[in-house]
Amino acid sequence: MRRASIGTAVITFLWAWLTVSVETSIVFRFPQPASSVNPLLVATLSSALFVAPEYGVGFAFICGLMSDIALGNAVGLRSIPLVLCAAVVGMAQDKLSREHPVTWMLLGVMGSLLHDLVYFSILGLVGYLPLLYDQLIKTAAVSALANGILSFVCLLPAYLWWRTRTRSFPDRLD
Amino acid sequence: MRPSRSKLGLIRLTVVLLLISAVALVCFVKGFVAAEPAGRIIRTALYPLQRAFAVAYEGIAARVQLIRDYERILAENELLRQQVQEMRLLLVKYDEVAAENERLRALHDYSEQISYETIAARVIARDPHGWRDHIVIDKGTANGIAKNDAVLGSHGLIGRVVSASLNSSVVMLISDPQSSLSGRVQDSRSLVVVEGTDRTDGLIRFDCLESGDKVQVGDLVITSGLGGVFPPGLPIGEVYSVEKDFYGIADTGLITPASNLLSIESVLVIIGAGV
Repeated sequence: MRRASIGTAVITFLWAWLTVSVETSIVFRFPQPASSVNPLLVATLSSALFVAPEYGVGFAFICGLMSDIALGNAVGLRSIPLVLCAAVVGMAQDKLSREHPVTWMLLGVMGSLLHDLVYFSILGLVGYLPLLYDQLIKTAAVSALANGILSFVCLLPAYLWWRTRTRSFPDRLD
Repeated sequence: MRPSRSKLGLIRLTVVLLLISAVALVCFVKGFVAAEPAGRIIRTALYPLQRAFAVAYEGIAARVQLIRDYERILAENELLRQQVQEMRLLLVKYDEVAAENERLRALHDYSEQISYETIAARVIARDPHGWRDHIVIDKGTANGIAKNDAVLGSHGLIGRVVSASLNSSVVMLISDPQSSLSGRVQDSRSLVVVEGTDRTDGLIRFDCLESGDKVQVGDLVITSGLGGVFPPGLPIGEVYSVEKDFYGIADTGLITPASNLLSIESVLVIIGAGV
């Protein structure tokens, strides 16, 4: 049990390392609107939906923290919205049929919207986004919508891949 | 029971992580936390993958860009090829004009050196099989040209008019086997007979009319004016080789014509000096 936890932690760190590397080294080079893809968010949603909600929350925290520290941002800037997103999606998925693609799509888009709204709010709070409140909401809403759609597009291959491997979700990792 | 326990654990975990993040955020906003040591470690750990991804992305992006640009590059390449072809043609034309200009300038300079009335003419025809025999020029009797007028190249005598029509004339070159004229060695003043040959190297022959060693290699041979066809003093060529005649008395040998007879394109015709 303990060895499995350590293994899970190591794998989580490795995935976070890979995801943060992809986001910081590649995404900013994409042309618009592809540069709006948020690999941390996509990876968080994937882990919360397809692995386990607890795993998704932990993964979101590590990813967000790693990204914030690596980029010299305010620590918590990325981890708070990601953790919230993973938690809400993780809790909501019990209420819905996880086997149905529409459910999965709905959760993904909802998570994206939530993440972006919280993210932009924190940005405004720490002064990174010098916008008025209504502008902030408008910007957050537009970006969240775009990211939600892009997350759905990015999550589709992961979902299809998962469907080919297993017919049922695991309850937890160990 | 199990789902509620699981959900409780999830909420507990979320709250703990959010609290940590929020405290860190507040500390950062207050300027309290300096995450530089952790940042250094994480950046060092991220560096290899970031670099690998960046290099891979740039490589892929460059190839994608190349594929995107392929059609444009093809069209541009075609256009450039056409332009290069046009430029080549222009360059050839330019070279031709420059060469013609050079020839005409040499003829003009030469015509100023001689004291006869001359007219410039362009070679318009030549027998490709009898390369050194006759040429046709684009000036004739309408321009004042008459039979036996002397014809000059840019450096000296090349022949004489053997037939003149209204707008063109036939010139027999001094290399023609039928050609024979009276010359003089400029230094020794000895008279020679200059004759055409059927040689293929462009050289013509001479026979000295005086006995003894009168001719040296490199001597300049000019027209004597005694034949009554050519005015005196026109350069014919330089002595290329000298030997004794059949009887061992007089000099004989070969002359290199002053003007290259193989590549004549423009000539000067001395008007009114012929008989």
